[in-house]
Parts: sequence; structure tokens; C-alpha cells
Amino acid sequence: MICLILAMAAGIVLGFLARKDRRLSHVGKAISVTIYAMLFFLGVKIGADRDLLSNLSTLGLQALVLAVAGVTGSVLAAFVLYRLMFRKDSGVQ
Amino acid sequence: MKGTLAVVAVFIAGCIAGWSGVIDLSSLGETGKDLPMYILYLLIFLVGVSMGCNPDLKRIFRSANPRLLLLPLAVIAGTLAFSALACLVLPKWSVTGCLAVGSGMGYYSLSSVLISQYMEPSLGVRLAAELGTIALLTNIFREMFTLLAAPLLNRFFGPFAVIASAGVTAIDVCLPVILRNSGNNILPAALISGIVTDFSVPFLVPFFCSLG
Repeated sequence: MICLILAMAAGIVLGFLARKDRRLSHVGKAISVTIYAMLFFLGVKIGADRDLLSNLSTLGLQALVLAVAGVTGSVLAAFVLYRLMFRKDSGVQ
Repeated sequence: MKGTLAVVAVFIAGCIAGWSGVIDLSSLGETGKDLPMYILYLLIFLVGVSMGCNPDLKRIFRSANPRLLLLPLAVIAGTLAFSALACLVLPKWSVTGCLAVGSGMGYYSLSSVLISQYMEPSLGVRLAAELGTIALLTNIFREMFTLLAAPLLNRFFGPFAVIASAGVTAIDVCLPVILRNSGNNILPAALISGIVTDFSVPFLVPFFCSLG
């Protein structure tokens, strides 16, 4: 855990120091590539587990519950915030 | 949408590789087992770099109405509160597990890989991979729902609703539907909400995972 915090802190410092460097515009692509690599390995772990693979629809159902919960909660909170603080403004800007 | 398809394709390719036995992580010895961990270090480092060198951040916060910062806070609080409630109907998972999935905020690729790694010590390889997959699907569903329901959300819950539902994707995938449905003057709100929630993911997901 502490190593991961250090890795992120090192990245933030380095990114800030080198923020003028043009090459940093590719960092988004590099993030995508590492995410793809990790997603592939997540897939490998799941694919290697036959029981888990046959339960994929159960996982989908649980994901649906959590997705509905997340959307409902955030939309209600944003709705309340808008009614309380922003509706009187003519523009939201 | 193209990005989502790519993510799903890579994930399925991994499943097939694991299922067919083409790639067997345990046969690679210690290095093979730790490989995803090393990639995670690289990923976290790169996320840090992208935060450190982001020039838009200061400009956006200076130019816009500071009250707009309340929007991402409301989005995060609302998502987490209801994700915790969802745990009542998902007895298999702890509150912190549900909160970890919810705090993905629509960033399905990052949240799923973070959860599958960070949850490994407390849940074991198998359950961690299971929860990671749930996070992947949950946050993909969130994006799809936002894209499909944007007009209804805007009509019944006001112009912030589409941004809230989009979460992280308010700055990329869902931005066009937000602008189309809520008008172009909603742009600063969408950018601030998208960027702040985006930055919260690499902090909140590991935080809830570390609580077990």
C-alpha cells in the first residue's frame, strides 16, 4: 500500500516538474495501454476459474444493482443541489 | 463507445486465454504471479504523472463559479450513499466492497483493475477478481444508462442530472449527450464534475479496499 502511494507521489512530482515537456501529451495513451494489460490479466484470472465463468450472469445482476444504486444516488444528490443553489441563476456559468 | 468495446474485447480475450490455458499465470512462477502487481505500480505512477502535468486544472478552477465544485462532491456523496445501501441486497459483499465498486464513478477500466489487485489481500484472488468484474460491469452499465437516458434525466431531474449520472465520463464519452440535452452553458459544470470525480477514483477505490 505504502509503495503505491509513493509511486503516485513520485508520478505527481515528476509530472509537475516536466509539465512543459511535449512528450507528456502521450501519457494518456500509456495509461490506456497499462489498463488494457491489467484488464487482460483480470480476464485470464476469471477465465481460468470455471466456476466463476459459469456464474458470470450472477455477477452481471449484482453489477446492475450497484449501477442503479450509483446512478440513483448521484442523480438525486445533483437534483437537490440544483434546486437549492442554482435554479435562481439564469445560466449555470 | 469505441473505447468501451475495446475494453470489453481485451477483457474477453483475457478470459479466453485463461480458459483455454494458453496463458497460465501460476506456471510462470513468482514473476508471473506478481506481473499484474508490477503493471499496477506503473499504472499508478502514470496516473500521478498525468495529474502533475495537467495544465487545465488550475485554469478551470480559477475561471468557473466556485459553487460548481459542490456538484462533484454531491455526485460522489450520492453515489457512495446509495452504493452502501445496495449492500443490503448483496449479502455476499461487505459495505466497503460495495463502496469500492461505487467509487469507480463510471471509470470502469481503472476501478476494475484496482479492485482486483487491492482486494486480493483481504478477499483472496478469486473473490477479488469477481468483485473487479462486478466493478467493470457496474461502471459500464452506468455509462450506457447515461447515454440512453440523458433526455429523461434532464427533463425530470434538471440539468445537473446527466452530469451526475455520467460521473467520470462527463468529460469524455458522455460530454456530447450532456451538451445536447442540457445546453452548451452547462460545459463548465460538466468539466469540473468530470475532472474532480476522475481524480477521486485512484484515491477512493484503494481507500475502501484497504478498509477490507
